[in-house]
Amino acid sequence: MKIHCIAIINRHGNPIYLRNFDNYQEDVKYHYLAHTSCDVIEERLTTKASDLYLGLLQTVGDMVVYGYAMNTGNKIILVMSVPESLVRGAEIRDIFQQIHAAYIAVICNPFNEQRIEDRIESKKFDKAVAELGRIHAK
Amino acid sequence: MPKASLAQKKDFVAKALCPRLLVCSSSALDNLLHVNNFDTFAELLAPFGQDVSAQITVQDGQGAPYFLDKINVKFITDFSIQKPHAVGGPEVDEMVISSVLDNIDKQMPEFLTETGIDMEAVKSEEPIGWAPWYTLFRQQWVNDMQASEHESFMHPVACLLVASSTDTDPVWTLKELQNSAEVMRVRENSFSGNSVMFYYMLVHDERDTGAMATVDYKFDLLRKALGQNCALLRLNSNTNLIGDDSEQSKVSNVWRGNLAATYPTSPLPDKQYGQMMTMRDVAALKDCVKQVMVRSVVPHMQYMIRLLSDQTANQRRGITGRLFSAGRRYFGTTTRNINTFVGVDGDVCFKYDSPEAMMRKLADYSFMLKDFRFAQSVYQVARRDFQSEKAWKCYAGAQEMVGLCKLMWEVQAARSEFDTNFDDAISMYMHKTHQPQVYLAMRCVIMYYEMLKHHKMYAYAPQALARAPASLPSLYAVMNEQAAYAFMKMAPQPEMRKFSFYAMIAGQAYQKAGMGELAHRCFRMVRLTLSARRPLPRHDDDDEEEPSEQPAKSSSLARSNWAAIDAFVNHELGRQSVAAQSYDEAFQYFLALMGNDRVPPPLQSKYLQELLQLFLESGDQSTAHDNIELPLPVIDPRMARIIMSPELEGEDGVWEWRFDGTMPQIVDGGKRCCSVGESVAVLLMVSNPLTIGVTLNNFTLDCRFSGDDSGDGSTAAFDVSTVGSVALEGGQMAMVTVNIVVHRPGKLTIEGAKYLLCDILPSFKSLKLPGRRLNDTKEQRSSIAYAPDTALEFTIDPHLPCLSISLEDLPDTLMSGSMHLSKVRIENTGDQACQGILLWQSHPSFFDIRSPMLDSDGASVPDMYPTKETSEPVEHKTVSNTLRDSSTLALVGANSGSDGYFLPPTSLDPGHSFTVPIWVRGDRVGAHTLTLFIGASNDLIPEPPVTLVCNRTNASHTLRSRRYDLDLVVTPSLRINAFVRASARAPSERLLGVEIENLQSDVAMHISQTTCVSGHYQLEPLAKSTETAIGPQQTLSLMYRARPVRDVSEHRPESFALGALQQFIYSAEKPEKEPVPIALTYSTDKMGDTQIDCTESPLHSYMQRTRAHWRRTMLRSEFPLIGARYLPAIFPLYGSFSIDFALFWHTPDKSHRGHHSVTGIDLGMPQDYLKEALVPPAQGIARTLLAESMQERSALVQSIAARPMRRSERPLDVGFTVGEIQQTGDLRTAKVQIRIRNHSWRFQYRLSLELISPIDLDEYVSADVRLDYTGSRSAWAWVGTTQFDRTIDKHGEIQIDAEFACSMPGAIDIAIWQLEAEAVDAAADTQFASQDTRCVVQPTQPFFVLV
Repeated sequence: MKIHCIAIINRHGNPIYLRNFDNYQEDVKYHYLAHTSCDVIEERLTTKASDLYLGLLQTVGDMVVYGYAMNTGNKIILVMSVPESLVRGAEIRDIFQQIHAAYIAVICNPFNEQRIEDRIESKKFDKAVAELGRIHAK
Repeated sequence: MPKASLAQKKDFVAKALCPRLLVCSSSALDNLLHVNNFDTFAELLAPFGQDVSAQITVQDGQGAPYFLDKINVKFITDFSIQKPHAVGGPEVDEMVISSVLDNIDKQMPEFLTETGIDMEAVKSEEPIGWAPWYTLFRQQWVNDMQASEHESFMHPVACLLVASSTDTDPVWTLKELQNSAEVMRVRENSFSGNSVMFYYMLVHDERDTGAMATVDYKFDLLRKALGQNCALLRLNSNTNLIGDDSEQSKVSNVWRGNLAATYPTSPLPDKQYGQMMTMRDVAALKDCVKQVMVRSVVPHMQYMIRLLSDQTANQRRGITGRLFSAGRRYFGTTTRNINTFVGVDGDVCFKYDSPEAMMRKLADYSFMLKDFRFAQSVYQVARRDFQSEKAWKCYAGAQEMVGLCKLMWEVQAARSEFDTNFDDAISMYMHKTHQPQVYLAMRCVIMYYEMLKHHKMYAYAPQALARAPASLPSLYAVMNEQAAYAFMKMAPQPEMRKFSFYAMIAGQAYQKAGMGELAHRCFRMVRLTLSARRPLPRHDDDDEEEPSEQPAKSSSLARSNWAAIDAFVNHELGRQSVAAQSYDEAFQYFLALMGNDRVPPPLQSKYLQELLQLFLESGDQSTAHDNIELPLPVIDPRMARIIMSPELEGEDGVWEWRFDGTMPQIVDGGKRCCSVGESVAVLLMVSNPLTIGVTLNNFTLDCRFSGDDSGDGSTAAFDVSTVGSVALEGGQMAMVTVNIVVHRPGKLTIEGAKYLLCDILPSFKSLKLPGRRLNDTKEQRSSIAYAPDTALEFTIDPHLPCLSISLEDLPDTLMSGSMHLSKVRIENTGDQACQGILLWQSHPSFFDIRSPMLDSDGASVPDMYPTKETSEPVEHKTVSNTLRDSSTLALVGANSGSDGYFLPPTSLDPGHSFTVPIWVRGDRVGAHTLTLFIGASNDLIPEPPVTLVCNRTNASHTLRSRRYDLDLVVTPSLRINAFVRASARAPSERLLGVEIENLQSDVAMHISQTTCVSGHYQLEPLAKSTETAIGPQQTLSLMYRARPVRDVSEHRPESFALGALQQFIYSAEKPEKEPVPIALTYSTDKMGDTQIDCTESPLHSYMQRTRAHWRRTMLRSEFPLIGARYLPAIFPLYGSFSIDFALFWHTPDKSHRGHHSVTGIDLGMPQDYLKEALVPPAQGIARTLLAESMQERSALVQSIAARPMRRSERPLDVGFTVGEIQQTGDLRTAKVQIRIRNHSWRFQYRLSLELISPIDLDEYVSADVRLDYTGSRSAWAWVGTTQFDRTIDKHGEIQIDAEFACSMPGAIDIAIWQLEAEAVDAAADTQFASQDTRCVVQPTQPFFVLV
């Protein structure tokens, strides 16, 4: 279960963060994947209310895209390779919650002028995301 | 575009899978066909097979009747089973490419416009019109469909044999035809099993009159020989019966229309079809086909259905049939081998007589007759059997048909599970068959997609289309484009992001397939969708006058947030445009790529290089070269500055001088002006948004000059300098300065910046901004209109003076009080004489400006402190008492001589220069920003503003001025405290104490002189101090006695102020008299060798100006409601009782000299006499009719009355002189002379003085106020009269004699008394009465007498 990309989209549907862990693909591909996922997320959000975890959004080629909606309206998008074995939702959920926690740490830092709509520029967040990518590199 | 092909999708499937008839005609008919321009008889019949209105009732598989409205039939001439084309081969590619006809409209779909996405159009339009080539491709695919062994669809259900009436023996001819090769092939195919039905037709040509007689006979023969399946068709080819051309073309169009619908991509042959026929014949043909279908074909199919249904009943229903077949499969020996065979493409198929094949045929026939429900059930059974036999092709075909039946059966379509059927079918076709049956899979995809469109179930469509084989780029592109449209039609919301994604994939595939035009179209769709999705941020700047809309669009795209996607799309579009040689368009896209800082640096430099490459390649072929406006670099017009005379310090501009002491105001929001031939600098902040470095070469400005064109055309009106190279690192910001010299009067507007990007690409950057928002008319308010911007333009006015001003030798730091000599050098560099130069200073006490010295004179600057040899402790001088504005000075022109300060030169000629010495003095400790304005005019400034007492005309001048802001830090040197005591000896005298502390840590300060200036007092030191040096951190105390020098004249400054203020408040005539000059007394205490002459002009007038500034500042804060221009007419410069104390010092080596001054020490009686001005006078009150002026007046009165109270007032003072003490025995007595002084210059007082003996003291004064007298309480007492009632004049003094007696020797305090006074004739009835009209005075200090 390899993470290819972690992206965060703000509530206006614009990307505020995108990290590509795939050495063989250009960023633009993951931009497209995140971009098309917005359609699915919008559709999901109209029906689903309680759970932040949105589940599998779409399968494109050999990649699966999962989604997670924060309470602020920002969305986390996770692109992974199609798993060999069965993936439990709890695992994915766990990854999402770690990203969410890292993001909250950035936003709630009183010394950071990060706003919810803006691009995330935080070394700490970068580090956290990179660590997640490293853990799930296989 | 043939609209006929845009039929309903359900019809499309029904037509594609309709029954077929094999047509064989005898050679005798060739003539008839030939004259009518037909090749075969099938071609003649073809149009009539469409939508044959059968209108019959047929029975379904269960025997239940249902109504068949229409049926389609296709006529074929030959039949064979061949291997289908390999998808990916050239045929299919050709098919796709040929679908994209040249004449097809390749505009954008209608819902996508430059302004955005039209949601209504998306909802209402069918996607068929968005990509017409798909429809054509679909039709071609259907035309190309071939019979396969696993299904009976493409197989003919019957044969139509046609003979001519000219045949001698039609029966024999038909028999011959029955044995023809085509018919034999039909018989042998897997599904016919020799049971082909024949239908016979005799065609009679009416023209052939010879056969006319025999035709009926022959037809009878035919019917007798061949049975009921016969028809007689009478056609006419007699030219005489043919109507006019219009009918002929109508007839021809029947065939032409059909051809165009069926073969839309091939050009129509230039043939006159049916040229010998009439509409009657067309009707006859149509009727004939209908008869064939209704009478024979459909009943035959019905019969077959019944027959097959019976034969396969065991297979289809009940466990027995299943068991039977299972038993046969597992236990049988040979049956299995007999039933199956291997088809042409290597897959397992079933023979015609096997139950599986029969079932398939049964289902197919039912499907053709639109009995989908029954067909589905049969297919499902057959599917199971095919699966168990591992006949995968058959299985896939059955699965496909199950799915199709579910969808064709209208009532069930929405509820059933069909996707798995198709999914299964396609994957079986692709993966399980002997060879991948890609062709069939593709057919399945097309059919499925059409059915989904029919049911508007677009949610399944992208998935279905994605199953299409991806091996052929052109096919893949067409399919993905359709998938994109499906996302657009998605319910309830169009999924535009996916639309753009799939359109992008389609675009890439089209490009791979070499279909550049469609690829370009796809990418443009993506771009439009991307820019339409995000509503543009409201940019008020480029809506109105944007010449072309495209750059605005592209720049907005560059700003959007999905930068990587935008960059990718723009890059693709740009490259395609380059490939298509449309360079103008390519430039647009590449320009949009620039300035995108979110793209990784390698891509940025790649894009930049490609853009430069594009420019070099395009050469002259692009028209856009002159006006390329790059988003790179960023130049903010708001940050652009025009600097006049840049080589000089200070801020140049046109300012308005008001002459009321206020700072000159900039005119017109900083309108820029300069003189002809001056150099003007334009400062631009240029920043690089990219993360890679770029260089800008030949950076210059594009300017527009308007104005005087009278000059000869040979010289340009202006010159603009060029900056050779500006290197910008990634994200860097640089300041670029461009100089402009204008040679003619007029106006110059800076339009934009021009540069060569990386020394290659000539670019232009507009610096236009909208001005302020117009808000004057209703129209302007309702629309958004802007005034033209004036920030980047300047006027060239030849009348403006052109001076070169430089400030030299300015200090940064000064010791408080010390003086420093600086210079202002002014040179007239213009060509006209300058007749007026004014100077304004924010801190007049910091500057002492001396008489300008022409450079030719060569005189040296006079010393700050003039000295004189003789020593005069007291001098008198009468000076003007007018409070002038000391901030404005004339350096050239107007005579300010009445000030007695200096006489400026009358004009400064061109090329001449002079120097103005300026002494800068650290007046107050701290950091100061001192502002100097120097304004000049070529014309005479009419009236010397400084002589105006009261500037009632509000005169102002607009002068070209230069503003200097100087920073000066003043460090502390000496601290001076002054205090005043009343003298106990004489009531008219005062004591002034001065305490001087040297704040320096290492330098001793030498006091050389003190000077006091007063109108009323003369000061003399109490003790002659010889110690003039104060050591570091040491304190020196000096005491002076102030004594009235003369009686106060009638023209007291105070009474002047009182009258003027009253007039100002209550009279219509504002005061404008000058106060009378005042006689001042200069008391000097010289401590050094020489005396500094304070009465000599430079110093004298400097001190006067300092005082004026101090007093103005004080008055303005005290009386904020009195206009500054009225101050000189109300308040005089000097008061009677105040003194100005000046202390001159120098350091031991005399390197620093200076003076400190304490201005306005009030020695007089503290009085708030100004309150009396508030009392309305008995007459002369201006009637005010307007409420406003009434309010103004009362506000003024209120503000003056509410000023903070002064200390308690004390108009009277008492002094004692004790005579000689007489001793008579034990008792000692002494005469005491009591002098009472009336300080008031206004009131005469009635007073009552009571002398109090110590024994009675408690009655009068509480014990804590006075010293403790217990020791001497009973020691002494007043004797004689102790109560005196007198009257005292204004400023008068009276003497009272009294006597006291003392019983023992010692020191006694005799200052025990109480004085009650009441002013005579005082207007005591108003609220504004001064406190001193009635007062009680008590002693403030003891007076000890030694007895």
